[in-house]
Amino acid sequence: MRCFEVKQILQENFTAAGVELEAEVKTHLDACVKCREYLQELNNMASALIPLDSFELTPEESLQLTNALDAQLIREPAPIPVQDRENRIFPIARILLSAAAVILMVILSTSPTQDISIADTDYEGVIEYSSLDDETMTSIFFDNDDDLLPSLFDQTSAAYLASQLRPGQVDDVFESITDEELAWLEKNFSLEI
Amino acid sequence: MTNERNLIQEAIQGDKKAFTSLVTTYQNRIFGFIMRMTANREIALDLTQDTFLAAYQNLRGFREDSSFSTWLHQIAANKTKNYLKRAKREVPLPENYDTPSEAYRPDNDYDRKEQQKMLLEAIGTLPEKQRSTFNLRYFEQMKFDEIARAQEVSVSAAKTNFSEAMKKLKKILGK
Repeated sequence: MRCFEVKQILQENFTAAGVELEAEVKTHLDACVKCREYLQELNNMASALIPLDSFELTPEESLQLTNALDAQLIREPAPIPVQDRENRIFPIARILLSAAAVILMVILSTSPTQDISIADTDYEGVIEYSSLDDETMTSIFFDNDDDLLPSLFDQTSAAYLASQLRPGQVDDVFESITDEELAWLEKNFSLEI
Repeated sequence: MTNERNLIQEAIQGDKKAFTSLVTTYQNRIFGFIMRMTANREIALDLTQDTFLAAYQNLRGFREDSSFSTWLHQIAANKTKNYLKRAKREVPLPENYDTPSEAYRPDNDYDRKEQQKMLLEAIGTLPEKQRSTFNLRYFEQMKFDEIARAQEVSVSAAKTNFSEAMKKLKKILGK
């Protein structure tokens, strides 16, 4: 065993409870003056730190703490179940996700299913997709006026799309989305622009 | 420990007496940890209270992949970190930094207080992360993987922080 290994072991095991030494380390220490000196330094440091070993609350402080906590706990409901807490933390995300789902369903029910080239239309954006159980390619068009594209491409609705479509099936998006949204979509959909 | 688990479960169901038992068990350790971080008794008491309140509010989030003690220290470390960040200071030592009343700690004398003050000052010079790591490892005897979890850093980062703290303290205390 080398000195630096022994020193590292001694240091990493240095606590207020003392150092418990393995036989191998003890053997090294028996033979190595420098490592013994290092251990002595640690022991000196431990002695110096004894006054900080325990900071105890006085009985008065303990009572003060308990009373203050009791007063606060009275107002507290029982700890929130995990499921409920998740609902509280992400209510807006859940609402947005639901809204996105509804919007998408409406769009899907009214969108043309013909393969139409973007150049032939006045539409500002298109997503071509095929559903998981149907290989037919469907195009969803977005008119710039109705502002659907930005709302659909926020991260929540994009997350919804990601759960519904196969990766790589969203083929094209246009300039009405922000660079940030585009980067997110590129990352998550393997977009080819 | 089974008893502790029972207490936690009872507290989750809203049994505040069970939670008070947990507070009684850990209050000195949490207070000591925060005291060594802030060197201010009054603030340490406030932050101890905040820690236990947050623990109660988040008790459902406690997962038994770490010990309850580690989890509490994690909350305490975060509370302390936030406090120190807000305070933006290097933990000055107020006049009343010191120990409890003489009646409670009759062995306290001037020298002991001075020694504590000097040590707290030395520890107070460490960056927050190193101070916290040293505190958790040396005084709380937490394992490095527990410290890493409590501080949301890697185990090697926790070891490095401890090593750096040791170097600095050895230098200061060796003067």
